Amino acid sequence: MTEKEIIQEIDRYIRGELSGEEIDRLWMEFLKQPEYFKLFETDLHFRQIAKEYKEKGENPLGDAGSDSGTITSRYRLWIAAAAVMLIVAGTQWFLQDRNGQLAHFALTQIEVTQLAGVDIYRSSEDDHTAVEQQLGRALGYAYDGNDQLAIEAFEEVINLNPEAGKRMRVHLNLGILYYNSGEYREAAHHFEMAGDTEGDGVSTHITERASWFLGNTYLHLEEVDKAISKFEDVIAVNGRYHQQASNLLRLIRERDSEPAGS
Amino acid sequence: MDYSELVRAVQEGDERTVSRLCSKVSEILKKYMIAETEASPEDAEDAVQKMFEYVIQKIRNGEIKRPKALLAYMLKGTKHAYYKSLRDSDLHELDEHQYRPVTGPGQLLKLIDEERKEVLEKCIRFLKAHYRALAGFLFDHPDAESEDIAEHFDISVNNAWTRKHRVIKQLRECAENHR
Repeated sequence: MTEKEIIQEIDRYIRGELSGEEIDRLWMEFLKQPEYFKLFETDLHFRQIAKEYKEKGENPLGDAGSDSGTITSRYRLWIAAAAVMLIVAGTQWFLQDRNGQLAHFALTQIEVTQLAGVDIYRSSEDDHTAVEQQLGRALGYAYDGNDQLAIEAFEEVINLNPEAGKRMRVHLNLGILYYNSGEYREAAHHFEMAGDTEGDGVSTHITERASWFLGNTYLHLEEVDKAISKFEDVIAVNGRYHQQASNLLRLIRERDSEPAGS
Repeated sequence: MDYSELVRAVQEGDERTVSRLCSKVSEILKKYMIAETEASPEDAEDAVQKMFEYVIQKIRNGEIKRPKALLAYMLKGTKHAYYKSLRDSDLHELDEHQYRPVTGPGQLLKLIDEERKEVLEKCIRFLKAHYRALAGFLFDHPDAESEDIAEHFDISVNNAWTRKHRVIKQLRECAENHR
């Protein structure tokens, strides 16, 4: 099942719309990828919270909810929120270990100039009107700095099932946009998809770029072995990012050779 | 999750790895039993344990080699272990359980954890602005479908799925950070 199909099945499951066989198939997906089980749990709890607020006639995020509390209860809410943030920040500070330094080595942001742009319009057997119009829209949003709208527009392109060459470039661009939004899991997924794409129009330059960005993403996710593997791939290609990958790999290995706590 | 690693670990007698991997999936299997049968958390735990005893022996005998087959065995085996324990105790209860209708929305309420709810309530207030609007809409319309979300925000149904999915992911990540 694709990710989208699993998400839709979770929705149907919570609504009570799945058959026994469909339920078992979904739980097998949860066993295969526990991440989806966590999403299911979160969705289930969120809906329960929403229903309980609805029954109380409150909305903690909307105008309807803003008058529901007294001044005292709102003050308590801010205190609680501040306390949670202090605890999280303090815990992170005390528990910061060597792995927490890895993100410092990675790219902070990826320049918008790295998006696969002009060459995305090369002719293909696709439906030029739908795919290319949507691509143009997505790139326009991205260059204007409307990252969220760009992400949605690029994801619409994926749903139009473009040819391999366009598909890998769209995944690259989604990876870049998610990276710059700090959503590194999503970014990794799209860079991986870009790198794994096969077929007509696939570019080795894009593959190299995706590997380079994926390595940086793994650093943010503190998955150092995966990051090293990607940088080694980039070095092996001996292309545009060869020197940067070599330098970064040297820094990581120097850090690993230092005694812990230094 | 790589279940071929579990098969390898069992075949090689690597008990530490077997224990680690079984622990990872036990929680999911217990929740499956709680959601899909009348099992209490204690019964569910018991059934999962019995299932692993059975499945690990099957792997050692070479009767389960493919990870995909292993998943099916885990689900069915856990249910089977539970119903067997019922049969061994009360035949009348067993008949009722075997003919229980499939899960309705109410059944899943057994998976609600109050502590997790509290954490998520705090996390909802930390949602980024772009997601707060959607979350606010869902608080007013808890049963809204993607078509309703799409109509309200004047976006495509696909976008509605994507946005809602990202709200849930944000909440999940926040909840993980607060554990």
